[in-house]
Amino acid sequence: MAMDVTVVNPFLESAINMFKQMFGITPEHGKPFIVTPNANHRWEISGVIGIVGSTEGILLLRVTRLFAMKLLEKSGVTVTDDAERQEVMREMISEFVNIISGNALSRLGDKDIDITPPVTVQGENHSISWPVNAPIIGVPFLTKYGPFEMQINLCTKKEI
Amino acid sequence: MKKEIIDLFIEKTKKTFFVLFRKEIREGSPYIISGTGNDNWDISGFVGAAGSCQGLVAIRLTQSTGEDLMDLIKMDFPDLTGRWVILNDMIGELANTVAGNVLSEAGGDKFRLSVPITVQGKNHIISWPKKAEILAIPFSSDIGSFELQISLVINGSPVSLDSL
Repeated sequence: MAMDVTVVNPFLESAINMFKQMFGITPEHGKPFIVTPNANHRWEISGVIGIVGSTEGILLLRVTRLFAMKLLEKSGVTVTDDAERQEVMREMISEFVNIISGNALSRLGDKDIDITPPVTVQGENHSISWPVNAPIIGVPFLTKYGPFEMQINLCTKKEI
Repeated sequence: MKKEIIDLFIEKTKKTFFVLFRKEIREGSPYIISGTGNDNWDISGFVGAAGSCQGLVAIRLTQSTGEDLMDLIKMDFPDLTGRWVILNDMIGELANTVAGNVLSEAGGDKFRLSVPITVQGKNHIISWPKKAEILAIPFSSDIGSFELQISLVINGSPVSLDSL
């Protein structure tokens, strides 16, 4: 297994396109970095999706609660109380990682890659970890609604 | 969820705990989780499934039970970070082992599991996929309680308690 950086770009492009199309904003990305899984962080909500097949790994979309609330407001979805707002926000983040991954896989054009159903985790300073054969790449983004971050760890199975 | 699948999850979970930790565990009555459900857990190990089986299998426990399981494996750790990494790997691997063993019997060979993921954080909330009911199987033992939580569609059929 080896990290193939060319498979990362479609996920970043797909994320930028999604925010452009859904919210009319163009996220600006910062400098990629290597993620330390147990480090403290500001993200309160994380969308998680597993990538399986000839390329395997995990995609995380990490946002603050405020960022998610602003996007929910912008989307025009109405909620009756705070509990519903929290639930709809989590579902929205799940849908984001699903769209980003689905579109990225189409761009990769590899029929032997699939995605698992998305899951969203919410909690202050929650950590997310998994066994890795390659570094987890973090890419910070900035928008007018606040920052978010994508974390990607992908390994492509090389034929021997 | 069909009874035989529940029984398989119970059987494989008990077997895994016995093989890995020499621990006898007792199952409680399965129930359906509604809303965000029971999120009074500190650690969740889960795997996603794609292909002929789609969904999520999670094992959720408290920090205290996780620490007790770590003591049972009798490993030395160079530092707290090393212990944190091993604990996460172990909980993720528990979910992976149980899910892999059950689905290979119940779901054929046309499914794939994601790498196991472990979340830590007091009372963290998991928002599940919505294609099937979220089913919980509680377990208890002398080192505390934990829960197996499952939401699966197998060969196109959502598994639910109603299908019993």
